[in-house]
Amino acid sequence: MAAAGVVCLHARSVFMSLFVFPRWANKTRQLAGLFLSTAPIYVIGLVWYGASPQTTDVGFQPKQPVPYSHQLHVGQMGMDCRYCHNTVEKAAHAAIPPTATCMNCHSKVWTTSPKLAPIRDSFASGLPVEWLKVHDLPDYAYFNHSAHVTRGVGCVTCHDRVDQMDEVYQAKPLSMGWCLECHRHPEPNLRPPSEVTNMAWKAPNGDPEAYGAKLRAENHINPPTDCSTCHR
Amino acid sequence: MNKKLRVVDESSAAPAGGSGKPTYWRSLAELDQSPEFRAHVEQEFREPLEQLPPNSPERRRFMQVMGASLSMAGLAGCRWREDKILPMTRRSEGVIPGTTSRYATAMELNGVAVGLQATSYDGRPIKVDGNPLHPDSLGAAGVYEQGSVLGVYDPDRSDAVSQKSGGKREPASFDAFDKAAKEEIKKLRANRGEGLRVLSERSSSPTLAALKDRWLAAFPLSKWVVFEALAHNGRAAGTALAFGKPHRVHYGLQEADVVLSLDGDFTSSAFPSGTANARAFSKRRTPEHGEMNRLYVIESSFSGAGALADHRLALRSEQIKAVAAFLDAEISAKASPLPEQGPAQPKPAAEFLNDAKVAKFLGAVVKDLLAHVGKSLVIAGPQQPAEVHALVERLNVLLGNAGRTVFYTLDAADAAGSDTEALKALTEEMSAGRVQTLFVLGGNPAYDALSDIPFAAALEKVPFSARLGLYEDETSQGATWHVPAAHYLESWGDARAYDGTISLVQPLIAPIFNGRTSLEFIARLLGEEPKGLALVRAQHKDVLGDDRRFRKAVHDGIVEGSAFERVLPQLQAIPPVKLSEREVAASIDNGQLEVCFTACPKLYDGRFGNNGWLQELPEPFSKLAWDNAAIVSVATAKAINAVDGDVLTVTLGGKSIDLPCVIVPGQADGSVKIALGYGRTHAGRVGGKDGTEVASVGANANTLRTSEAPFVAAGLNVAGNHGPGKRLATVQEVYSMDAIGRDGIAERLPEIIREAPIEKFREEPHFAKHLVHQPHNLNLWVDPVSYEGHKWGMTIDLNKCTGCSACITACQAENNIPVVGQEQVARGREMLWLRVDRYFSGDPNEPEVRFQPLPCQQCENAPCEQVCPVGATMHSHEGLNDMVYNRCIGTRYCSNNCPYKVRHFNYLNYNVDVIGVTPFTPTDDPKMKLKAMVFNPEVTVRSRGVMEKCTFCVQRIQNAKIPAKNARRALEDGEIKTACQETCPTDAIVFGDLNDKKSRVAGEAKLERSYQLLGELNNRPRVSYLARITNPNKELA
Repeated sequence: MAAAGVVCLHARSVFMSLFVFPRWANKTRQLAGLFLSTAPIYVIGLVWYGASPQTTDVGFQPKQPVPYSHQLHVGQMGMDCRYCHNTVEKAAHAAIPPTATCMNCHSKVWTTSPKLAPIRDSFASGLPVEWLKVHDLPDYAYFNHSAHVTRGVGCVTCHDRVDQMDEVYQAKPLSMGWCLECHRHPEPNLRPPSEVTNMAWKAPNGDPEAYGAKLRAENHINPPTDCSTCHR
Repeated sequence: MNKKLRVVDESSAAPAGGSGKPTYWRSLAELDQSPEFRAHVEQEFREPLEQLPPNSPERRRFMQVMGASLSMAGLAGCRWREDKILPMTRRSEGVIPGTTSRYATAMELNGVAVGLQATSYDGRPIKVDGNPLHPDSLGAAGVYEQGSVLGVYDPDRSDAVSQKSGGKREPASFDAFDKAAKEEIKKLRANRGEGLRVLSERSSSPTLAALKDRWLAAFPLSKWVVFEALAHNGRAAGTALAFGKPHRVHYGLQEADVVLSLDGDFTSSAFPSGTANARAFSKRRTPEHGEMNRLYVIESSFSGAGALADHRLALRSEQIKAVAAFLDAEISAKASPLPEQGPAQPKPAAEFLNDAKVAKFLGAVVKDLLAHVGKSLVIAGPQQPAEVHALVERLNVLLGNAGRTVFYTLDAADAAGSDTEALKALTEEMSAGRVQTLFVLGGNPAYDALSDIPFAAALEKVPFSARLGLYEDETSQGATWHVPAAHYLESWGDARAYDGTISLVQPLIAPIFNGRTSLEFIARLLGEEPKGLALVRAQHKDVLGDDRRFRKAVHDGIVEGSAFERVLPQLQAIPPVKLSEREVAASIDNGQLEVCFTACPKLYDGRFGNNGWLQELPEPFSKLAWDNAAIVSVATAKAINAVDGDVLTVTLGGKSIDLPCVIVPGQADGSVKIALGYGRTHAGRVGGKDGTEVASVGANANTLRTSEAPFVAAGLNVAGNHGPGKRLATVQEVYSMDAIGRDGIAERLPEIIREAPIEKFREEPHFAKHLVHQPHNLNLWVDPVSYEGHKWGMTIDLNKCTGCSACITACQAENNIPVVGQEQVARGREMLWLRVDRYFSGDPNEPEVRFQPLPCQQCENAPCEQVCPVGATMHSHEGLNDMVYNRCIGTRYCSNNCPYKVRHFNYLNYNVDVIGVTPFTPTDDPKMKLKAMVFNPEVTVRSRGVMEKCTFCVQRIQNAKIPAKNARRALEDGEIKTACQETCPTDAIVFGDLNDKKSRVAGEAKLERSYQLLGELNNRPRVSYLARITNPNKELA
């Protein structure tokens, strides 16, 4: 009805104009084809690796209001994890300690240090110190510390060498896939419950797999992989 | 072969039943198949789908714009928002953040305390359950108690003192009020309290009583008036008539073989000791555990007791007087009263008593009562007049029940007085200008004072009035000062159970808005130390002297041994009751209808008007939410020419209100039931607030009530019928079907509600399992799970469910179920995970009703799991059907496939958005953040676009399993209670581990009368129902 080059106008063009490719686009058809076929692979790869928890979460190291150094207190001075995070064996949350725990020592030690000013202010005013959560799981995932710690999963398994961190960063992805890896195959990550806070513990016979298998059988460890284990 | 298609006559009103099975139907509309109903049903979706035509310019433009914005959206925000951790500065010993603790407390309603255990999470109360040690709770809690926790976080709660100035209300400070009040008190001390009045709601608090004495001693010329809108003075006046002094009546329902209730729902939370009564009564409804009791109910509108009744007779409330007189005439004759107990009532000359049906019923009742001397019980409803109560107690004494199934304690001396008379006198004084200073403690007299008591207008005349209230409501509008009150979960206090046991009230959170309790308010005015704890401690020093005993009483929630002493009163002669012409008439026409003003089973007297959970809870019998209605019977509706949903103008004594008409089969002819508590003008964003876009919910029936007849009045006229109004938010008619479907349903319903009289059950104990032919079901695949560990299951005993719906509110509180509002409920989008289905059976004029709570059945072979395209609903190794919200993409195929329709979809962002205003009000408002504090942190708060359903309270299961495993011990039966199970007053729901041979649920599931709903579909549900066994009187069967 219309010869080549004549544009057929329609009533609809009142609302939007018809889009017509410019002539030079004819030359780029091959390149465009190459681009269109490789772009999806590129985008998928970008999202797969770029948006995975390994990329977005590992290395997360927020700036805390007080420069508390685990390396100093735990690594050098040898405090046990549970002195501060004392609810870890009884509750789902390994609670950040109340300001009073800091003041147990710091009412006597470094009492005028400017770095500890937020602690002293908090203790005096009754307002909390606003720590930023480093190992943050999404709200719909309910993790229970006590279930792991009392069965022999060490702190270092998920939090890595906190005793060597000046400022805490997230060292493991803590993604669902990562958790499931252990739930499906817990043996390499098991240790006697008495050694959970020992950051430098290694399996005695050098074979964590076999040692873990023994512990698993002894302690009847059956990590569930049901959805309701973590998702409610 | 010539097969003729069965043509269903669509105009037939009676469903095809046959073969002797009871005919069930779910609603009248389905039964009648009216043309409007057919039109409604033939539309697949409730609302016409809004369709954008596929090639419309709007749609293409939309795609263009969306495409553009998508391309501009960067990868910023790949990680979710940062979370802060805010630890305490000093953590008390034993406090573990992120865990719950329970504290005993009590909620006072109409002067009676129900003992509760409130759950505190990180220092705030999020759930309320019963207190097993409390005599009025026994571990269960009703609707009002379950809903009450939402009131703590109500954004509309008053948060500041306000002062009336120049026709408006201005915020003021506590100091300003204290200063002004101090001045006023100084004046009053000088003139000994002349012109001073205190108006308070009913309270049994010993501390408040002592403060009242000190107040009256300091201000001898003043008066302290008690007014409770739903004060039922009939019992006190009636027992005074029968025994000479007012008494309280307590029931030992466990011991009674035959129970007769005259218009009294003794299982309701609105009835004193109702929850405990329900528990005791239900213990005799288990045929496997001994002889079943038999319940006769004569009432004007359906109630929980009526639902459980073996025999029910619908009579107008005003006719009960003649019935009581008749029963006395018959029974006194056989029971030989002593001379000092007075003669029998003369046999009343009542037209309706000659009706064959009524005569047969009453004859059988009399015979049954006389056959169970000392093991029967007659109960009168609180709204009945004194004469009925007197006669009922007379019957109890003559039948030998006193001291065996019914017990008496002495009531307060003023209990027989009338609250309405007291308020009337006070209002007259106020109008005459004789009251200079008025303090109003709680209550809401400007809203619920009766129409002939112009309290609101009189309040304007008082020069200095101060109102202590939770909300700046109708009463606060007219008061000079409004002071925010503390919620009971923020208060130290005390109160008494109905049997007198002192219950201590302890706070779970400091008053969020610096509210004051009544104790603190009065103490401060008196110049005493205004600290609730100190006052309560001082009050109970004699009994609970030392610290250890006080702490134990606070821990337990009760003071042991503080119940009133039981007495055995002497019956005296009761003068013959006078019966008016209309009280004995067999039928009443329009213009003279009886009207019963009842406590709303959800809002009580209106105090819960701004409570979204309770507004959205469907009323058990009409299944109506977000509204009240004129409830009428089938015959009455026909007589006044109204159908369901028509807006009627009803008038009484010259006043009128507009209400939708709802037909509830089983309502007595000539009697209209209207619930109180609606039509609030200053409730808030949920209940309605004048001057905002939030309309009042329902209509205020208080405008029709007068002090002569506050509960049962005569002379109602249906003056006008405006035709259908806005669509009512009912939840029963969501899945209605056409005539062919209806007939199919009618055939099917006896398989859903399985029941039999007890004789049949004894002959054929497995009748319930044999009702449906269940073929040997084979699976298409090998079952991957073998359930060797825990095997969670539940049984629900249909013999015990009264339809009270406390389970629904408990579930809503426990699982963060959103309130969706009237419009969404009308569209069928209510989110309540547990629903209680209501089925009628028999003749629409005299039906029986059956309730069936329906949670997710947690099918082992779940149809929903098999169709989810993304695996958002999976089966756990313990039998739970897990719902994973973050994986759900909103296909809704699971809900489509569910045969029970127990899945609910979040069509909008209900949990975040405000309800009552518009769904899209922004939430940076700090008051809305307050609302979020009621959420249970153990359960995900769902957003728009995900499906949700009952999870068997998986968070409770996990939070019991994990500590048990940590401690290397086994779980005990009863350690895990689902929210619905824990609160059920009749103990109808039992949950537990089916693999634990000794567990209660395993025993119940194995009972012969247990059956599975739609089991023939091979779903293998984990929920079993125990068939309803009735205990009919052979004479009436």
